[in-house]
Parts: sequence; C-alpha cells; structure tokens
Amino acid sequence: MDLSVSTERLGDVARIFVTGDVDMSSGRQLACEIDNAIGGSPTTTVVDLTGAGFLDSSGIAVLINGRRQAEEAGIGFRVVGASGIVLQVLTMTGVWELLSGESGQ
Amino acid sequence: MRAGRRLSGRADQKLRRIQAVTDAALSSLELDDLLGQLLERTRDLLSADTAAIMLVDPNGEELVATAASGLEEEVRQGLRIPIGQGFTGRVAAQAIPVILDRVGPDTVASPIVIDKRLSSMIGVPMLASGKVIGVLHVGSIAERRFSDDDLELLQLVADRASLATQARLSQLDRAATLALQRSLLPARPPVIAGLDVAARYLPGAQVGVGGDWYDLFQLPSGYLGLVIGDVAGNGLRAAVVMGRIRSALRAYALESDDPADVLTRLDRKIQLFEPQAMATAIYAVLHPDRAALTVSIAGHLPPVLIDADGNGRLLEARTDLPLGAYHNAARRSSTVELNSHAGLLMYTDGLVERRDRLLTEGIDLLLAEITTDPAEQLCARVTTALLRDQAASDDVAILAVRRTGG
Repeated sequence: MDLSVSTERLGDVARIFVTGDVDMSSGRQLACEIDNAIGGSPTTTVVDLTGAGFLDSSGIAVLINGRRQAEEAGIGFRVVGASGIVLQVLTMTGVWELLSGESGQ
Repeated sequence: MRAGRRLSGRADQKLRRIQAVTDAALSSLELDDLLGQLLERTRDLLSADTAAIMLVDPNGEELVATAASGLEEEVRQGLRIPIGQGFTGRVAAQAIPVILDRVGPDTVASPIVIDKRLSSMIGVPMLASGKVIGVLHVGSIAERRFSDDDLELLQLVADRASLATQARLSQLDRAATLALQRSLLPARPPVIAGLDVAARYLPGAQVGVGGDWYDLFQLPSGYLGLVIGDVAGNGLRAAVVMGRIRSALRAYALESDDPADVLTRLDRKIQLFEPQAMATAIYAVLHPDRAALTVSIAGHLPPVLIDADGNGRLLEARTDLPLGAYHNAARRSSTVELNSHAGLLMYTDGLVERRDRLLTEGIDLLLAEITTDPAEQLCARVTTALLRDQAASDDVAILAVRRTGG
C-alpha cells in the first residue's frame, strides 16, 4: 500500500501519522516528514505506526536516523502504535526498545 | 547531355568538403586515429595552420588538449585550460562558436598558440545530449576572415568528433563499472578441513551487486570467522559501502576473537567514517576445537542452528542494535555448544521477508526446509522453497556451515 504521512501539532508534541508501507521507495517521504517535524522545534516527536502495514530495513534506518536527529536537537522521540508485521520486524531486529522507549520486549 | 542544372562551383566544393568529413571509412578507426584524421582533413579543407580538439575533463572544470594537427605541443604538454578562461574556455563555457580576430595573451590562454603566432582563430563547441564535452578550434597564421561555410564545416566536424568521443566514454564507463562490481562480489567460501560450507548470493538490483554479503575466514588464532551482513539500501551504492564494511570487519577480526568486541569496533568505525550508513550483521566465531560457537548479533535476524538429526531451530541470543544506529550501543556475545554434524545457517531478510506475511511465518518455512543434507543441497532447497513464487527484489545472501564430524 502506498505510503501517506501527515503531521499534527498538539501543543508541544508533533505527531506523525504513518499509513501504508515504509520501504526503499517511500522511506525518503517519511524521512522528510520527520525532518520537518523536528524543524518545528516541538518538545517531542511521536511517530504513530498504527496505520503502517509494512516496514523493512530502510524504514528502520529512517526511524533510527530520526531518533538521532531529534536527540541532537534536544527533542524527545518515540515510536508508537506498531503492531503485527511491523512490530515483529522492530522487535526481531532489536530496535524496538530504542525507538519506543519501552524496556524489555 | 542531360538537361538540368549543374551544381555551382561553390556548392560543389561544399559537398566535397562535407564528404571528406563524413566519409564512412573513418568509422573503422580507433578514437585517437579518428580525431587525428578529422583534424588533418579539416586543416586541409580550410587551408588552416592548426586544428585541435580539447575535451572536458571528468571533473567538469577544465579542458584538456586531446588531439591536434599543427599544434601537437599542446597535447604533448597535456595543456589544461579552466572552462571560462581564454578563447577555448569561453567557447566551452558559453557553448557557442567564437571567432577571434586578434590573438594575444589577453584573448587566449594557451602559450603554445601564442608561440605559433596565430592571428585568427575560430572555435566551436562539441556537444553531446546538449552538454559541452569539448571544443574544436582552428587557427591561421595569416590574417583571414572565416566564412559562414567554414563555420558550418567546423560544426559538422565537431558533431562527428562528439559522437565518436561519447561512444568511447560510454565504453570506458561500462568497463569501469563491471570491474568494480566484480571486486565487490563475495568470494567463493574457502575449503576448510572438517567443515562442509556452501553459500548463495542473489542481488536484487539489476546492477548485479547489492548491500548483502557473507564472509568466512580462518584466523591465525585458530578461530574461524563467519559473517552475514546487510547494508541498508541497494544497488551499487550499497555495495560500495558493503565492500568497506566487509574489509573493516576482517581487520578487526584479526585483532580480537570476541565477536561483540569486533562488532563494537566496527560500529565505531562506521559511525565515524560512514555517517549515513546502517547495516545489520552477525559475526560468529567457531572455536579452534570446532565444538563451540560464539556469536554477536547486530540487528540481524537470528541464525538457524542445525542439530545432528537435521532439525533446525533459531539460535537464542540477544539482538543488539544495528551497526551505525547509535553511539556506544552495547553488544554481547553468546556461546553455544556444537555437537559433531551440527551446523549453522545464516541468511539475510530478503529470504524470509514478504509484504503480506509475518517474519516468523517466513522463518518457519525456512526451518521446515532444514535437513541433514550437505550444505550445498541445503542452500538449494532453502532457496527454491522460499523464493519459488517471488522474483527477488531484495538481496538474498545465505551461508551454511556443517561440521563433518571428527
């Protein structure tokens, strides 16, 4: 499914809603959205993957880079809403803890 | 005598000039000879004292003297003119023909042209796909005015020279790409006493290489290094980064027998020198007695342990962060015992990941294919079963190793 992303700013939190597949061809789109969100200097950026149906290694790279970018800007970063295929990929590759801020799997 | 107009003297001459340049016999010549021939004929036709070609350097900023008739010294000295500077530099920068009536240090940048005492020059751009790839210029010692016909002829010669030059550059480009690709392909695994080894490498991109790799090497310490890895991205770009990571891992493997230590150093190197790169990898070492395996996993799917009866199960070990993901990421090594005839199969996610199903489903399919077969047959089974209905769009790499007992 094609990727669509949108950002909602609620007070100090920028929330990015992700719908569809995050892969090699659509990864850049999400990267730009995260970049813009961070640029708006919120206190925290949240990436909501509730609507995401697929995520591969390029998607993981985008999320990890986003987290690093946010950290450098002194902004919080959290991934939420992952389930099914997406959650499994994130847990099996050992990045879920870092991205979600949850400890333990 | 046939009725009809005879060609006027001027048109006749024009036709002969054009034929001299477009002569089919030129097609059989190598580029250097072709350019040389074109320039000689041009000089002849225009009764000029010099004719020369300068080509744009690969960096795109300079013209380099490449072929000349009457001005060979420029080529011998490897004359370079920055684009924009002097007469030829101007032709290249503006992509238009330029006629020079006064040749002097203020109008030309080539000391050789000054030496030759040319008084009039004309230059035309060599174009390919709308881009300037060089300049063709002609000079006369005696003062003269170059005509429109002269200009037309020169442009014709320039077009001919452009075509031939472009064809040659494409050829060199292809040869260079092929050579690079070949150097990045994983080598056939070496033959190791007491081990049965097989591998598969299936790049997804058309370019024939990608970011996945496997590696296997005997270390002086007696340990045997086993690697499977996956650089994020695809195609030649990922392959080039993979080549550097593959090489660095080998270097660190020589320094330490602890996989977590090796991957930690590798991670640090990647973070510093390849800031945008990310990769998953497993580095495992088979102990010198071959009875145990120590492994560290960096964001990669767990390998399959194969027991003597041919049953496969996922190796249980903590999965640390991918390489290049996070500074000072903690890494751990785990050790498992291997009985004789035990084996290990490492793979990249391209083998098991599909858009419409859970990773664990793909892995279960993989585990179902594990048998007591020799490594080569095992790789064949696994590849056939998992990629049967799918054209590989993602890279796939597999490394299978079995103890052959003793």
